[in-house]
Amino acid sequence: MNHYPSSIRKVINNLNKLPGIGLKTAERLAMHLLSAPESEVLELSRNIGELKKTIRLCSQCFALTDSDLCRICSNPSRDNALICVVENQADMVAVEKSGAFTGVYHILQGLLSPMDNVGPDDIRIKELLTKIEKGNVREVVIATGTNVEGEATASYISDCLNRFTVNITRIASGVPMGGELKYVDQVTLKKAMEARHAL
Amino acid sequence: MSTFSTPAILLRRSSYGDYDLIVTLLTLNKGKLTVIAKNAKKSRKRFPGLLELFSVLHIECRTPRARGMAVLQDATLENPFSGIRGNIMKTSYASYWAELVNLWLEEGKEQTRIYHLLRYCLDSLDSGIIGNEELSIIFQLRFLSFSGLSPNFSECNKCHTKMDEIKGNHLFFELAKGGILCKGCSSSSLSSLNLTKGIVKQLLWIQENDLKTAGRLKFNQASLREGLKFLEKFIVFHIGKEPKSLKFLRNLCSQMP
Ligand SMILES: [Zn+2]
Ligand SMILES: [Zn+2]
Repeated sequence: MNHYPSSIRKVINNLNKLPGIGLKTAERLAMHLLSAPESEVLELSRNIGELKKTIRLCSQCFALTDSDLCRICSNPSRDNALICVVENQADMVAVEKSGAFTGVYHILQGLLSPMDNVGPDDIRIKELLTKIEKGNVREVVIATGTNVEGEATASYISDCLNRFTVNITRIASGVPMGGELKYVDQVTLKKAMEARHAL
Repeated sequence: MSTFSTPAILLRRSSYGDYDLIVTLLTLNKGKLTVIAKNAKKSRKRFPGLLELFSVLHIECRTPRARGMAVLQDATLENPFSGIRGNIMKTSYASYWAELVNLWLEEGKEQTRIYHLLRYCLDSLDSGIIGNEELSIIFQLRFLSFSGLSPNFSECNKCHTKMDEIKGNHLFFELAKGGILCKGCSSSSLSSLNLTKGIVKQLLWIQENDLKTAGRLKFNQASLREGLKFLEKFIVFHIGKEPKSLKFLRNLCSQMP
Protein backbone atom coordinates (compact mmCIF):
# COMPACT_ATOMS: atom_id res chain seq x y z
CA MET A 1 0.00 0.00 0.00
CA ASN A 2 2.71 2.43 0.98
CA HIS A 3 4.18 2.08 -2.48
CA TYR A 4 1.30 4.07 -3.95
CA PRO A 5 1.07 7.86 -3.97
CA SER A 6 -1.38 9.18 -1.41
CA SER A 7 -4.15 10.10 -3.93
CA ILE A 8 -4.28 6.47 -5.09
CA ARG A 9 -4.10 5.21 -1.52
CA LYS A 10 -7.16 7.33 -0.68
CA VAL A 11 -9.19 5.79 -3.51
CA ILE A 12 -8.06 2.30 -2.52
CA ASN A 13 -9.16 2.98 1.05
CA ASN A 14 -12.56 4.29 -0.13
CA LEU A 15 -13.20 1.28 -2.33
CA ASN A 16 -12.03 -1.09 0.37
CA LYS A 17 -14.88 0.12 2.59
CA LEU A 18 -17.50 -1.16 0.14
CA PRO A 19 -19.11 -4.51 0.97
CA GLY A 20 -17.37 -7.52 -0.55
CA ILE A 21 -14.35 -5.48 -1.72
CA GLY A 22 -11.07 -6.63 -0.21
CA LEU A 23 -7.80 -4.76 -0.39
CA LYS A 24 -6.61 -6.64 -3.50
CA THR A 25 -9.80 -5.91 -5.44
CA ALA A 26 -9.71 -2.29 -4.28
CA GLU A 27 -6.19 -1.98 -5.65
CA ARG A 28 -7.24 -3.50 -8.97
CA LEU A 29 -10.28 -1.19 -9.26
CA ALA A 30 -8.20 1.87 -8.43
CA MET A 31 -5.67 0.99 -11.10
CA HIS A 32 -8.52 0.40 -13.54
CA LEU A 33 -10.00 3.84 -12.82
CA LEU A 34 -6.59 5.38 -13.36
CA SER A 35 -6.31 3.90 -16.83
CA ALA A 36 -9.97 4.43 -17.85
CA PRO A 37 -10.98 7.45 -20.02
CA GLU A 38 -11.38 10.61 -17.98
CA SER A 39 -15.01 11.13 -19.06
CA GLU A 40 -16.00 7.73 -17.68
CA VAL A 41 -14.35 8.35 -14.33
CA LEU A 42 -15.93 11.80 -14.05
CA GLU A 43 -19.33 10.39 -14.89
CA LEU A 44 -18.97 7.78 -12.17
CA SER A 45 -17.99 10.32 -9.54
CA ARG A 46 -20.80 12.65 -10.64
CA ASN A 47 -23.39 9.88 -10.45
CA ILE A 48 -22.23 8.86 -7.01
CA GLY A 49 -22.54 12.46 -5.85
CA GLU A 50 -26.03 12.78 -7.37
CA LEU A 51 -27.17 9.60 -5.63
CA LYS A 52 -27.09 11.22 -2.22
CA LYS A 53 -28.65 14.45 -3.47
CA THR A 54 -31.60 13.19 -5.48
CA ILE A 55 -32.63 9.92 -3.89
CA ARG A 56 -35.32 10.21 -1.25
CA LEU A 57 -38.16 8.15 0.14
CA CYS A 58 -41.50 7.89 -1.63
CA SER A 59 -44.04 9.88 0.37
CA GLN A 60 -46.55 7.01 0.10
CA CYS A 61 -44.65 3.76 0.51
CA PHE A 62 -41.12 4.82 1.64
CA ALA A 63 -39.41 3.14 -1.28
CA LEU A 64 -36.33 4.82 -2.73
CA THR A 65 -37.27 7.22 -5.49
CA ASP A 66 -36.01 10.33 -7.25
CA SER A 67 -39.40 12.04 -7.34
CA ASP A 68 -42.13 12.53 -4.75
CA LEU A 69 -43.93 9.29 -5.62
CA CYS A 70 -42.12 6.12 -6.66
CA ARG A 71 -42.86 4.39 -9.97
CA ILE A 72 -45.22 1.92 -8.38
CA CYS A 73 -47.25 4.42 -6.34
CA SER A 74 -47.62 6.72 -9.36
CA ASN A 75 -48.74 3.88 -11.63
CA PRO A 76 -52.56 4.14 -12.07
CA SER A 77 -52.89 0.45 -12.94
CA ARG A 78 -51.66 -0.67 -9.50
CA ASP A 79 -54.35 -1.59 -6.96
CA ASN A 80 -54.18 1.01 -4.16
CA ALA A 81 -56.54 -0.95 -1.94
CA LEU A 82 -54.07 -3.81 -1.63
CA ILE A 83 -50.95 -3.12 0.45
CA CYS A 84 -47.97 -5.42 0.87
CA VAL A 85 -45.91 -4.70 4.00
CA VAL A 86 -42.18 -5.47 3.71
CA GLU A 87 -39.11 -4.82 5.81
CA ASN A 88 -36.94 -2.99 3.28
CA GLN A 89 -36.39 -2.01 -0.33
CA ALA A 90 -34.63 -5.27 -1.21
CA ASP A 91 -37.64 -7.29 -0.05
CA MET A 92 -39.94 -5.07 -2.11
CA VAL A 93 -37.77 -5.67 -5.16
CA ALA A 94 -37.92 -9.42 -4.50
CA VAL A 95 -41.74 -9.45 -4.35
CA GLU A 96 -41.89 -7.20 -7.41
CA LYS A 97 -39.64 -9.58 -9.36
CA SER A 98 -42.00 -12.45 -8.59
CA GLY A 99 -44.62 -10.63 -10.66
CA ALA A 100 -47.29 -12.02 -8.35
CA PHE A 101 -48.34 -8.77 -6.76
CA THR A 102 -50.39 -6.00 -8.35
CA GLY A 103 -51.01 -3.77 -5.33
CA VAL A 104 -48.78 -1.17 -3.69
CA TYR A 105 -46.18 -1.49 -0.95
CA HIS A 106 -45.46 -0.19 2.50
CA ILE A 107 -41.81 -0.35 3.44
CA LEU A 108 -41.30 -0.47 7.19
CA GLN A 109 -37.60 0.50 7.08
CA GLY A 110 -36.81 -2.10 9.73
CA LEU A 111 -38.30 -4.71 12.02
CA LEU A 112 -39.25 -4.69 15.68
CA SER A 113 -36.46 -6.13 17.78
CA PRO A 114 -36.98 -6.44 21.54
CA MET A 115 -33.31 -7.34 22.15
CA ASP A 116 -32.14 -4.12 20.48
CA ASN A 117 -35.06 -2.08 21.77
CA VAL A 118 -36.20 -1.23 18.25
CA GLY A 119 -39.82 -0.40 18.99
CA PRO A 120 -42.91 0.54 16.95
CA ASP A 121 -41.89 4.21 16.95
CA ASP A 122 -38.54 3.40 15.37
CA ILE A 123 -40.01 1.93 12.20
CA ARG A 124 -42.83 3.12 9.93
CA ILE A 125 -45.81 1.48 11.59
CA LYS A 126 -47.67 4.68 12.48
CA GLU A 127 -47.65 5.70 8.82
CA LEU A 128 -49.21 2.37 7.91
CA LEU A 129 -51.98 2.83 10.49
CA THR A 130 -52.66 6.33 9.19
CA LYS A 131 -53.11 4.92 5.69
CA ILE A 132 -55.53 2.27 6.92
CA GLU A 133 -57.44 4.80 9.04
CA LYS A 134 -58.27 6.79 5.93
CA GLY A 135 -60.22 3.78 4.67
CA ASN A 136 -60.02 2.64 1.03
CA VAL A 137 -57.71 -0.26 1.91
CA ARG A 138 -59.19 -3.72 1.38
CA GLU A 139 -56.30 -6.00 2.30
CA VAL A 140 -52.92 -5.79 4.01
CA VAL A 141 -50.50 -8.59 3.16
CA ILE A 142 -47.77 -8.86 5.78
CA ALA A 143 -44.65 -10.06 3.98
CA THR A 144 -41.96 -9.64 6.64
CA GLY A 145 -39.40 -12.44 6.99
CA THR A 146 -39.95 -15.57 9.04
CA ASN A 147 -37.19 -14.96 11.59
CA VAL A 148 -38.14 -13.97 15.15
CA GLU A 149 -38.06 -10.23 14.36
CA GLY A 150 -40.16 -10.70 11.21
CA GLU A 151 -42.75 -12.79 13.03
CA ALA A 152 -42.85 -10.39 15.99
CA THR A 153 -43.42 -7.46 13.65
CA ALA A 154 -46.16 -9.32 11.80
CA SER A 155 -47.86 -10.15 15.09
CA TYR A 156 -47.67 -6.54 16.28
CA ILE A 157 -49.06 -5.12 13.03
CA SER A 158 -51.89 -7.61 12.97
CA ASP A 159 -52.77 -6.74 16.60
CA CYS A 160 -52.83 -3.04 15.67
CA LEU A 161 -54.97 -3.61 12.56
CA ASN A 162 -57.56 -5.73 14.34
CA ARG A 163 -59.69 -2.70 15.15
CA PHE A 164 -60.13 -1.92 11.44
CA THR A 165 -62.34 -3.78 9.00
CA VAL A 166 -59.42 -4.43 6.65
CA ASN A 167 -58.43 -8.03 5.75
CA ILE A 168 -55.06 -8.99 7.23
CA THR A 169 -53.12 -11.77 5.53
CA ARG A 170 -49.64 -13.26 5.99
CA ILE A 171 -47.63 -14.68 3.11
CA ALA A 172 -47.41 -18.46 3.32
CA SER A 173 -44.25 -20.43 4.14
CA GLY A 174 -43.52 -23.43 2.03
CA VAL A 175 -41.25 -25.76 0.13
CA PRO A 176 -38.99 -23.97 -2.37
CA MET A 177 -39.41 -24.83 -6.05
CA GLY A 178 -36.99 -27.44 -7.30
CA GLY A 179 -36.17 -28.39 -3.73
CA GLU A 180 -36.04 -31.80 -2.16
CA LEU A 181 -38.15 -32.25 0.94
CA LYS A 182 -35.34 -33.73 3.02
CA TYR A 183 -33.39 -30.47 2.80
CA VAL A 184 -36.29 -28.32 3.99
CA ASP A 185 -36.15 -27.31 7.65
CA GLN A 186 -38.76 -28.80 9.96
CA VAL A 187 -40.49 -25.51 10.82
CA THR A 188 -41.06 -24.65 7.17
CA LEU A 189 -42.20 -28.18 6.42
CA LYS A 190 -44.68 -28.08 9.30
CA LYS A 191 -46.09 -24.79 8.02
CA ALA A 192 -46.21 -26.11 4.47
CA MET A 193 -48.13 -29.15 5.64
CA GLU A 194 -50.58 -27.04 7.62
CA ALA A 195 -51.17 -24.78 4.60
CA ARG A 196 -51.68 -27.67 2.13
CA HIS A 197 -54.34 -27.16 -0.50
CA ALA A 198 -56.66 -29.38 -2.52
CA LEU A 199 -55.61 -30.43 -6.02
CA MET B 1 -9.12 -31.44 17.52
CA SER B 2 -11.94 -32.32 19.89
CA THR B 3 -15.67 -31.99 19.59
CA PHE B 4 -18.43 -31.87 22.12
CA SER B 5 -22.20 -31.87 21.98
CA THR B 6 -24.85 -30.49 24.29
CA PRO B 7 -28.46 -29.32 24.43
CA ALA B 8 -28.59 -25.53 24.11
CA ILE B 9 -30.97 -22.59 24.01
CA LEU B 10 -30.14 -19.75 21.64
CA LEU B 11 -29.88 -16.42 23.49
CA ARG B 12 -28.50 -14.03 20.92
CA ARG B 13 -27.32 -13.98 17.33
CA SER B 14 -25.35 -11.42 15.41
CA SER B 15 -23.73 -11.16 12.02
CA TYR B 16 -20.01 -11.65 11.65
CA GLY B 17 -18.90 -10.39 8.28
CA ASP B 18 -20.94 -11.28 5.22
CA TYR B 19 -21.09 -15.03 5.71
CA ASP B 20 -20.98 -16.02 9.36
CA LEU B 21 -23.11 -15.71 12.44
CA ILE B 22 -21.98 -15.48 16.03
CA VAL B 23 -24.46 -17.10 18.38
CA THR B 24 -24.57 -17.07 22.15
CA LEU B 25 -26.22 -20.08 23.72
CA LEU B 26 -27.09 -21.28 27.18
CA THR B 27 -25.92 -24.86 27.08
CA LEU B 28 -26.81 -27.61 29.51
CA ASN B 29 -23.26 -28.87 29.92
CA LYS B 30 -21.06 -25.83 29.48
CA GLY B 31 -23.10 -22.87 30.67
CA LYS B 32 -23.11 -19.77 28.50
CA LEU B 33 -21.21 -20.33 25.30
CA THR B 34 -20.48 -18.14 22.29
CA VAL B 35 -19.76 -19.99 19.06
CA ILE B 36 -19.26 -19.08 15.44
CA ALA B 37 -21.53 -20.59 12.80
CA LYS B 38 -19.55 -20.43 9.58
CA ASN B 39 -21.45 -19.80 6.37
CA ALA B 40 -24.73 -19.67 8.29
CA LYS B 41 -25.65 -16.45 6.51
CA LYS B 42 -24.29 -17.39 3.13
CA SER B 43 -25.91 -20.79 2.75
CA ARG B 44 -29.56 -21.46 3.49
CA LYS B 45 -28.78 -25.15 3.67
CA ARG B 46 -26.05 -24.92 6.30
CA PHE B 47 -28.33 -24.39 9.32
CA PRO B 48 -31.80 -24.10 7.77
CA GLY B 49 -34.19 -22.27 10.10
CA LEU B 50 -32.25 -23.44 13.14
CA LEU B 51 -30.32 -20.51 14.53
CA GLU B 52 -33.28 -18.44 15.66
CA LEU B 53 -33.74 -16.76 19.03
CA PHE B 54 -34.96 -19.08 21.82
CA SER B 55 -34.68 -22.22 19.65
CA VAL B 56 -33.93 -25.30 21.74
CA LEU B 57 -31.19 -27.12 19.88
CA HIS B 58 -28.84 -30.01 20.20
CA ILE B 59 -25.48 -28.66 19.06
CA GLU B 60 -22.17 -30.18 18.12
CA CYS B 61 -19.09 -27.97 18.29
CA ARG B 62 -15.40 -28.17 17.57
CA THR B 63 -13.26 -26.68 20.31
CA PRO B 64 -10.78 -24.05 19.20
CA ARG B 65 -7.12 -25.07 18.98
CA ALA B 66 -5.64 -22.40 21.17
CA ARG B 67 -7.82 -19.44 21.91
CA GLY B 68 -10.91 -18.13 20.21
CA MET B 69 -14.41 -19.32 19.68
CA ALA B 70 -15.70 -22.85 19.31
CA VAL B 71 -17.05 -23.58 15.83
CA LEU B 72 -20.60 -24.82 15.44
CA GLN B 73 -20.49 -28.02 13.39
CA ASP B 74 -24.02 -29.26 13.50
CA ALA B 75 -27.35 -28.38 15.07
CA THR B 76 -30.71 -30.11 15.28
CA LEU B 77 -33.87 -28.44 16.38
CA GLU B 78 -35.84 -29.74 19.32
CA ASN B 79 -38.38 -26.95 19.69
CA PRO B 80 -38.76 -23.78 17.57
CA PHE B 81 -41.46 -22.34 19.87
CA SER B 82 -43.89 -21.25 17.17
CA GLY B 83 -46.29 -20.12 19.91
CA ILE B 84 -43.76 -17.58 21.15
CA ARG B 85 -42.62 -16.45 17.71
CA GLY B 86 -46.10 -15.70 16.46
CA ASN B 87 -46.88 -13.41 19.39
CA ILE B 88 -45.17 -10.07 20.02
CA MET B 89 -45.88 -10.05 23.77
CA LYS B 90 -44.48 -13.55 24.29
CA THR B 91 -41.48 -12.74 22.10
CA SER B 92 -40.82 -9.70 24.29
CA TYR B 93 -40.92 -11.68 27.54
CA ALA B 94 -38.70 -14.40 26.11
CA SER B 95 -36.27 -11.72 24.87
CA TYR B 96 -36.11 -10.19 28.33
CA TRP B 97 -35.33 -13.51 30.00
CA ALA B 98 -32.74 -14.41 27.37
CA GLU B 99 -31.08 -11.01 27.72
CA LEU B 100 -30.97 -11.37 31.51
CA VAL B 101 -29.26 -14.73 31.22
CA ASN B 102 -26.86 -13.34 28.65
CA LEU B 103 -26.03 -10.26 30.72
CA TRP B 104 -25.61 -12.02 34.01
CA LEU B 105 -23.90 -15.30 33.31
CA GLU B 106 -20.20 -15.80 32.85
CA GLU B 107 -19.00 -17.65 29.79
CA GLY B 108 -18.20 -21.32 30.31
CA LYS B 109 -19.55 -21.75 33.83
CA GLU B 110 -22.03 -24.61 34.12
CA GLN B 111 -25.50 -23.36 35.05
CA THR B 112 -27.74 -26.41 34.92
CA ARG B 113 -30.47 -24.96 37.13
CA ILE B 114 -30.76 -21.79 35.05
CA TYR B 115 -30.86 -23.89 31.88
CA HIS B 116 -33.78 -25.94 33.19
CA LEU B 117 -35.53 -22.81 34.47
CA LEU B 118 -35.29 -21.05 31.11
CA ARG B 119 -36.39 -24.20 29.31
CA TYR B 120 -39.39 -24.62 31.61
CA CYS B 121 -40.43 -20.97 31.24
CA LEU B 122 -40.08 -20.99 27.44
CA ASP B 123 -42.08 -24.24 27.22
CA SER B 124 -44.85 -22.80 29.37
CA LEU B 125 -44.83 -19.48 27.52
CA ASP B 126 -45.09 -21.31 24.22
CA SER B 127 -47.98 -23.51 25.27
CA GLY B 128 -49.68 -20.71 27.20
CA ILE B 129 -50.59 -22.89 30.20
CA ILE B 130 -49.28 -20.17 32.52
CA GLY B 131 -49.83 -16.45 31.91
CA ASN B 132 -46.95 -14.35 30.53
CA GLU B 133 -46.79 -12.08 33.57
CA GLU B 134 -46.99 -14.93 36.08
CA LEU B 135 -44.17 -16.71 34.24
CA SER B 136 -42.02 -13.61 34.26
CA ILE B 137 -42.45 -13.33 38.02
CA ILE B 138 -41.49 -16.99 38.45
CA PHE B 139 -38.52 -16.67 36.09
CA GLN B 140 -37.11 -13.56 37.75
CA LEU B 141 -37.52 -14.87 41.31
CA ARG B 142 -35.87 -18.20 40.51
CA PHE B 143 -33.18 -16.55 38.45
CA LEU B 144 -32.32 -14.26 41.37
CA SER B 145 -32.12 -17.13 43.80
CA PHE B 146 -29.89 -19.23 41.48
CA SER B 147 -27.66 -16.18 41.11
CA GLY B 148 -27.30 -15.76 44.86
CA LEU B 149 -29.44 -12.63 45.03
CA SER B 150 -32.65 -14.04 46.41
CA PRO B 151 -34.68 -11.26 48.06
CA ASN B 152 -35.42 -11.89 51.72
CA PHE B 153 -39.20 -11.85 52.21
CA SER B 154 -39.43 -14.05 55.29
CA GLU B 155 -38.44 -11.57 58.01
CA CYS B 156 -37.47 -7.96 58.62
CA ASN B 157 -33.89 -7.57 57.44
CA LYS B 158 -32.96 -5.58 60.59
CA CYS B 159 -34.96 -6.71 63.63
CA HIS B 160 -35.77 -10.19 62.22
CA THR B 161 -39.46 -10.01 63.07
CA LYS B 162 -41.17 -12.73 61.01
CA MET B 163 -43.09 -11.35 58.05
CA ASP B 164 -46.40 -12.77 59.31
CA GLU B 165 -45.91 -11.06 62.64
CA ILE B 166 -45.20 -7.61 61.24
CA LYS B 167 -48.24 -5.43 61.90
CA GLY B 168 -50.13 -3.62 59.17
CA ASN B 169 -50.47 -4.27 55.46
CA HIS B 170 -47.54 -2.17 54.31
CA LEU B 171 -43.99 -3.38 54.20
CA PHE B 172 -40.84 -1.77 52.91
CA PHE B 173 -38.03 -3.17 50.81
CA GLU B 174 -34.44 -2.10 50.83
CA LEU B 175 -32.99 -2.64 47.32
CA ALA B 176 -29.33 -2.50 48.33
CA LYS B 177 -29.65 -4.99 51.19
CA GLY B 178 -32.20 -7.10 49.34
CA GLY B 179 -34.75 -7.60 52.09
CA ILE B 180 -38.02 -6.39 53.58
CA LEU B 181 -38.21 -4.02 56.53
CA CYS B 182 -40.92 -3.43 59.10
CA LYS B 183 -42.26 0.09 59.52
CA GLY B 184 -40.11 0.83 62.54
CA CYS B 185 -36.88 -0.27 60.86
CA SER B 186 -37.69 1.45 57.57
CA SER B 187 -37.47 4.92 59.09
CA SER B 188 -33.71 4.55 59.52
CA SER B 189 -33.26 3.32 55.95
CA LEU B 190 -32.54 5.98 53.34
CA SER B 191 -34.15 4.44 50.30
CA SER B 192 -36.80 1.79 50.41
CA LEU B 193 -39.75 0.78 48.25
CA ASN B 194 -43.27 0.19 49.45
CA LEU B 195 -44.67 -3.29 49.09
CA THR B 196 -48.01 -4.69 50.17
CA LYS B 197 -48.00 -7.68 52.46
CA GLY B 198 -50.15 -9.53 49.93
CA ILE B 199 -47.52 -9.52 47.19
CA VAL B 200 -44.72 -10.29 49.63
CA LYS B 201 -46.64 -13.39 50.75
CA GLN B 202 -47.16 -14.49 47.16
CA LEU B 203 -43.51 -13.98 46.19
CA LEU B 204 -42.40 -15.86 49.30
CA TRP B 205 -44.74 -18.69 48.39
CA ILE B 206 -43.19 -18.95 44.93
CA GLN B 207 -39.70 -19.01 46.47
CA GLU B 208 -40.68 -21.84 48.81
CA ASN B 209 -42.44 -24.10 46.32
CA ASP B 210 -41.28 -26.08 43.30
CA LEU B 211 -41.81 -24.76 39.76
CA LYS B 212 -44.93 -26.80 39.02
CA THR B 213 -46.67 -25.72 42.22
CA ALA B 214 -45.53 -22.12 41.74
CA GLY B 215 -47.15 -22.09 38.31
CA ARG B 216 -50.56 -22.75 39.86
CA LEU B 217 -50.55 -19.60 42.00
CA LYS B 218 -53.20 -17.11 40.90
CA PHE B 219 -52.55 -13.39 41.04
CA ASN B 220 -55.02 -10.57 40.59
CA GLN B 221 -54.13 -7.82 38.11
CA ALA B 222 -52.98 -5.37 40.78
CA SER B 223 -50.61 -7.81 42.44
CA LEU B 224 -49.26 -8.99 39.06
CA ARG B 225 -48.35 -5.41 38.26
CA GLU B 226 -46.89 -4.81 41.71
CA GLY B 227 -44.85 -7.99 41.61
CA LEU B 228 -43.45 -7.33 38.13
CA LYS B 229 -42.65 -3.72 38.88
CA PHE B 230 -40.83 -4.69 42.04
CA LEU B 231 -38.79 -7.53 40.50
CA GLU B 232 -37.80 -5.48 37.45
CA LYS B 233 -36.63 -2.64 39.71
CA PHE B 234 -34.68 -5.02 41.89
CA ILE B 235 -32.98 -6.66 38.92
CA VAL B 236 -32.11 -3.36 37.22
CA PHE B 237 -30.66 -2.16 40.53
CA HIS B 238 -28.36 -5.18 40.76
CA ILE B 239 -27.37 -5.37 37.10
CA GLY B 240 -26.66 -1.66 37.13
CA LYS B 241 -28.49 -1.01 33.86
CA GLU B 242 -31.85 -1.52 32.26
CA PRO B 243 -31.84 -4.38 29.73
CA LYS B 244 -32.87 -3.18 26.26
CA SER B 245 -35.60 -5.77 25.97
CA LEU B 246 -37.07 -4.65 29.30
CA LYS B 247 -37.41 -1.11 27.92
CA PHE B 248 -39.05 -2.58 24.83
CA LEU B 249 -41.39 -4.70 26.93
CA ARG B 250 -42.48 -1.82 29.17
CA ASN B 251 -43.07 0.39 26.13
CA LEU B 252 -45.10 -2.28 24.44
CA CYS B 253 -47.23 -2.91 27.52
CA SER B 254 -48.06 0.78 27.77
CA GLN B 255 -49.12 0.86 24.09
CA MET B 256 -51.06 -2.35 23.70
CA PRO B 257 -54.82 -1.92 23.59
ZN1 LIG C 1 -44.18 4.51 -3.45
ZN1 LIG D 1 -37.76 -4.48 61.71
